[in-house]
Amino acid sequence: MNSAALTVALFVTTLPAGDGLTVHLRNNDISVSAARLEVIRDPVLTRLKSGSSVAFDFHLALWSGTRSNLRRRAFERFVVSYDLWEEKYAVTGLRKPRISATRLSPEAVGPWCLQQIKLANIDLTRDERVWVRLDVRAVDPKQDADLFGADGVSLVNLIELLSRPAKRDNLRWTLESGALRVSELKP
Amino acid sequence: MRLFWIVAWSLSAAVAWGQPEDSPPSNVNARYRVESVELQPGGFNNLSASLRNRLQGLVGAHFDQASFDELGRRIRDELRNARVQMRVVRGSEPDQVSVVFEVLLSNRTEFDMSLPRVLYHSKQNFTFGLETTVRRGRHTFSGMALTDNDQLIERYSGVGAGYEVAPARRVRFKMQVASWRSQWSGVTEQAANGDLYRARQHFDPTATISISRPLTLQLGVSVERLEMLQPAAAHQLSSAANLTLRYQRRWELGPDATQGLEASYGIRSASAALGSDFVYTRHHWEARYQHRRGHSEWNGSVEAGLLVGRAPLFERFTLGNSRRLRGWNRFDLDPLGSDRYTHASLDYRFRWLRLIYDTGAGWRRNAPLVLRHSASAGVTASGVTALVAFPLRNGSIEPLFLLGTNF
Repeated sequence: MNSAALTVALFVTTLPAGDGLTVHLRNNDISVSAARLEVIRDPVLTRLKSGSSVAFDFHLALWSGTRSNLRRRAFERFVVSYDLWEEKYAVTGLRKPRISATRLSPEAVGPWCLQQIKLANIDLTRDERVWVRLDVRAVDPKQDADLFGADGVSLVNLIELLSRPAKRDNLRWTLESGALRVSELKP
Repeated sequence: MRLFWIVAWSLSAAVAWGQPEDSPPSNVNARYRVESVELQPGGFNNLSASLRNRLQGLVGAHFDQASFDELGRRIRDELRNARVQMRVVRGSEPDQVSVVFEVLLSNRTEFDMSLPRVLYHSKQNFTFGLETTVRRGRHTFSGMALTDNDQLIERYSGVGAGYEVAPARRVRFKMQVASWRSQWSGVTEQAANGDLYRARQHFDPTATISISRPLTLQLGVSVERLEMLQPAAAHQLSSAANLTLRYQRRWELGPDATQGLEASYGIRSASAALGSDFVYTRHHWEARYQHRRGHSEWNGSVEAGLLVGRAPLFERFTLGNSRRLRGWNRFDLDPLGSDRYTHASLDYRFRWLRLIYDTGAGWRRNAPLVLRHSASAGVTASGVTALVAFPLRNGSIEPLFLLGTNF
């Protein structure tokens, strides 16, 4: 690790972000928070209240220098369920070691998931510009249907899978920071 | 962007896949016991006894979404053309839940398109099939385009259409028509003695009767009009009555273990009484066993065939393809196919790894039986398999490469 990066790493920094995404740098780890990330809404809400669990994929990506230089990305999958008796939400991360939270309000589910995802051990120099983008997607149960069933490859499922983002924007959320210069960060 | 999500899904699935079997994705309602399981409307009367028992056996257990999802799929399979939705609601007492399956009989037209056959074989080149299906209520219409250089001794290419109706729960009628253009390899042309044909038209009406839940009987006739190569423009007819008795059963041995058994006997008999120019009888026996536990899966199969009389070449048995003696080239074994054969296979899978051992022999009447063996190793993921197959023999060994689905 070079000295500039080490200096940056000592900062505990919060970066202002566009579109409500706030970027944090702590001990070389990038994490994010959002003022609003309400992932519990229809049609996910209906599935949860029917007792089914719903998986969410979180993808966090960092570009540095130029927008074409993808520096690091992280994926996490969380499973959300609705407690039928307590009327609260529970979340479990699938990566080991398992992390989970219970008795969450619907508004707290997205922020809790965001707290669990980070880009670790990134060397950043003071002059670098960075962009951070968060993509969240509720996993449609049909997405898990086998494309390769006993009757062969279902082209309809494949076409549906590839066309789904355009048709189901209500299951996907994207938040981006603007271009941020590391040297401008303040503790 | 779509590519990104496909990559992201794959990686996310890999995260989930890496979890041990005893830690499925959590549903907080798993801490509640199942008070009741219902199927609306109509109750369990239309379900098999094994499925009814399985559903009722979950009453009193903790709610397990994976189990109920799997049972929902089985209900949908048993109630053909139905959509099944699962709903979990509070039970009559705290800490209990009730599971309700709602069955919606579909009146809408459903369209599907699939690739039932996709295969690349380093000796036999490509096999490719495309099928479209339109289903409305109890009626199913299908169309198919196919070029196949794997199953028979010929490459046959063409189009076909089918219609299927299920007038009762235990009876299905199906009718298929197809027109195939045949192509022959040089060695087959040299070995053949005037039995080659240029094209064939196929008509195949059948009735399938479910005698009991695991046992079905298929009855029908098969009419094939052959346009012969020699003499040019001459036609011959192959008409056969056929009967197939099939037994299929699957057992659940535990939360992550199943076994299945499938056995069948089929007979096809062509005679002059049916207007056939070919007079023959073809018998076929087959048994398959599958055992799956966790990520391990064993598949074993034995099969045999006997052909008596003069039959067209498409009825002859073929080894050295994607299902039998995979390391061998079928034209090296017999360029005209055999009229007797026996084959056994042992197929082991662990996660993405796949290992196969095949042994079998194809021979003709009064000819010696030569037992051959082959071994294959490869990877399989999401239904796509890539295999390298070797013939087990003395002398030079040339591996074959197979890539595709459904083999």
